[in-house]
Amino acid sequence: MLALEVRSITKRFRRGNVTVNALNDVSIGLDEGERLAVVGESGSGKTTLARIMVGLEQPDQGEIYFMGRKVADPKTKMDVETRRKFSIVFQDPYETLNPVKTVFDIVGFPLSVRGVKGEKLREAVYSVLRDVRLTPPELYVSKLPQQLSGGQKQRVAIARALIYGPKVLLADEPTTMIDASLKAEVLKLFLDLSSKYGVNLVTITHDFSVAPILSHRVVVMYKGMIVEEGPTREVLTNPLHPYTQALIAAVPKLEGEVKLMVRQEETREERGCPFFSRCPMRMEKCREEPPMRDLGDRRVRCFLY
Amino acid sequence: MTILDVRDLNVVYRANGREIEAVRDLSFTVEKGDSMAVVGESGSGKTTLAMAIMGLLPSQAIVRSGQILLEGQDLVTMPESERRKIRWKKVAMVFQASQNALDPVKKVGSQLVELYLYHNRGAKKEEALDRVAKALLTVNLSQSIMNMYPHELSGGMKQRAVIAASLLLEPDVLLADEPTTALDVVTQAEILLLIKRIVSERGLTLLFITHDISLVASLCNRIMVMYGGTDMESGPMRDVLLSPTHPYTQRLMEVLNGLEEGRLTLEQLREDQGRGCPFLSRCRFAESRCAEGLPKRRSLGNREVRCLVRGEG
Repeated sequence: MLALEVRSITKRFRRGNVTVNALNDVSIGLDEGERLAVVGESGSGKTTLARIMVGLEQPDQGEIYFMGRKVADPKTKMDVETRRKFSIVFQDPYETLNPVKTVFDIVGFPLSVRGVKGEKLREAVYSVLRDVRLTPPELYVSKLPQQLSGGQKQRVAIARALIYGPKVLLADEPTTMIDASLKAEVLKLFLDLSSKYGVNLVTITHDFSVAPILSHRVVVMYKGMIVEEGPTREVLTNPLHPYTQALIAAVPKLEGEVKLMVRQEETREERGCPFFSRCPMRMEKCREEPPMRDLGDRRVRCFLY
Repeated sequence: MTILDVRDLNVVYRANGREIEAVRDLSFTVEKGDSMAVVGESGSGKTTLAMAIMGLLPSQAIVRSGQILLEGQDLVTMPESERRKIRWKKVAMVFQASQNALDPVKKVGSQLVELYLYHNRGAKKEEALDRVAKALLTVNLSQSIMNMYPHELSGGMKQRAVIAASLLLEPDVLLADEPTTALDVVTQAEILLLIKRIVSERGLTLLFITHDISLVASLCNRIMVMYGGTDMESGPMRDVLLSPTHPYTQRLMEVLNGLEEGRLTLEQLREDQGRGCPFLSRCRFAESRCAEGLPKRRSLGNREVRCLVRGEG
C-alpha cells in the first residue's frame, strides 16, 4: 500500500483573466518509509504540489490518497485529523520563527494548541530538542530566535515540525539559507530523524546536489508537469529528459565549470512540450504535448524516448 | 598593481545602546584584474564589507578604524561629495536579490537612461540610449526589453538588466553580493558564465561575495574566507581548495567534497565562550590558548591565515 498518493492532480490559478496552469496532470506515489525529492525551478509547480499533498490547497482535478484512503479531491477538503499527519519545515528558518516567543513556546505550540500542558508538554519539548541535538535543552528553552545561530534556528523549526509525530515531513528548500559547513549537519538531522520518527521525508528543492542524500526517488518538474521520475542516483548519473540534463549540468561543482544546456531566447512560446522554447534538442513533433513514457522504474515525458 | 587595499577595518553596528562588531581587523589586498571570492556564512560580515567599500553602510553602522584604499585614496575619510564621483564609476555593485532594485512602474530602458544621464550631466539623450543599448547587448538582452516593464522579464533577465546597469558607467571594480541567490540553478549558471565573460572581456577587477564556494571555484583566482567578521584564510583559489589550512576552511571543504560524493561528515560542537578565536566553539584542533584573543594574521607559504595552531613547527 502506498503511504501517500496523488492521482492526476491539476491546479490552476486565476488572476483577472489570466490563468496559470500550476499543475498539469501530476501523479506520484510514495511507499511507506520512502524519501522523495521534488526538483524544479521557481514556477515549476513544486511548492503548489507540496501544498496540495499536505492539504493546504485543494486540487481542481484529481485525488489524494493517504494510507489507501481518499482524503481529498476538488469537492472534499482534507480533514483535520489527516492534516495532522503532515508537517512542513519551511524554507527560511529566519522568518518562520516568531521573534517574540521562546524556543519552548515555539516548539511546544503544536501540542499546547491541542491542550497538552504541564509536565507532559515539558517532557515532549525537551525530548524533541534533544533529538535535534539542541542539548542540553535547558540551555535553549528560554532563548528567543534572535539569540540562536542560523543552524540552531533550523533545528528549532525541525523540532516544531516533529513534535506531534507526523507521518509525512515536507522540507521546503531546507538548505538554501545556510553555508556549506552547516549543510551536512542539517541534512544528517533530516535523515536520522525521518528514520527515527518513521516519517516519509519529501524534499522540495531547486538544487540537485541535495537530492541524492535526502531521497530515494526524484521527481523533476517543469512548468507544472512531471518531465522525469526515477531512482535519484540513476536519474543523476543518467538523466534522460533534456531539462533534467540541463539542470544537472548547471549545478556548480568544485572541479570544472557549469554548463548551460538551454537555448537562451527571450521568446516564451507556449505550446506542446513545456520545455519547447528552451530545449536544445527540440523537433517539429515537440509542438504537441509529449506523453509520459514508462521505462521500467523510470518515467520520462519526451519524444526522444 | 594593487587596486584595492583594505587595512585593519573595524565596523560596528549600534543597536539598543549595544555595539555589535560586524567586521573586525579585516585586511586584504586585491590586484588589478584579480577575481577575488569573499566566502563566509550569513553573519560573517561579508555584506558589511561590501557596503563599507561602496560607502553605503546603514546609519547605525560606524567604521571604527581602518582604511579602504582604492588606488591609494582612502574611501573611509573621503567626503561624500567625492565618494559620489567614484561610486558606480569606479566601483559598482550588484546587490543580493537586486532584481528588486528595478523600479516596477518604469520601463527598463528609461531607468537605465536616467542612471546614465544622472552621472553624466550634459550628455545627450541619444548618447545615453546608445550606451544603454550596448550595455544590454553585453548581457545578451535585446533592444526590445527597453520598452518592457520589470514584471515582464524573467528573474534571470532582470538580473542581467541589473548587471547591465552596473556596467553602464564602465567601472574598474565590480562587487557582486550573492548575485544568484534568488535564481534557480539553470539561470544561476547563465549569470555566472555571463559575469565570467564580462570580467575577462573588460579586464574588470571582481569581488564576488557568496556563502557557496562551489559557485566561485572556477570563477575566481583568489579567495578570502571570512568567519566572525574577519579574514580566516586568504590565498590563491586552487591552493586553498586543494590544501585548506584554517580549520574552518578545512571544514567547508570536507563538507563540500563529502556532499559531492554523497557522504555526510559531522562536527562536534562545544559551548561558545564568546571570546578568543571566532571559530573556537566549532574547531576540533582548538587549544586553551585559542581562547585568549583574536589570533593574529600570519603568512604561511602563499596564504594568510589566522590560526594559532596551524603551521607551527
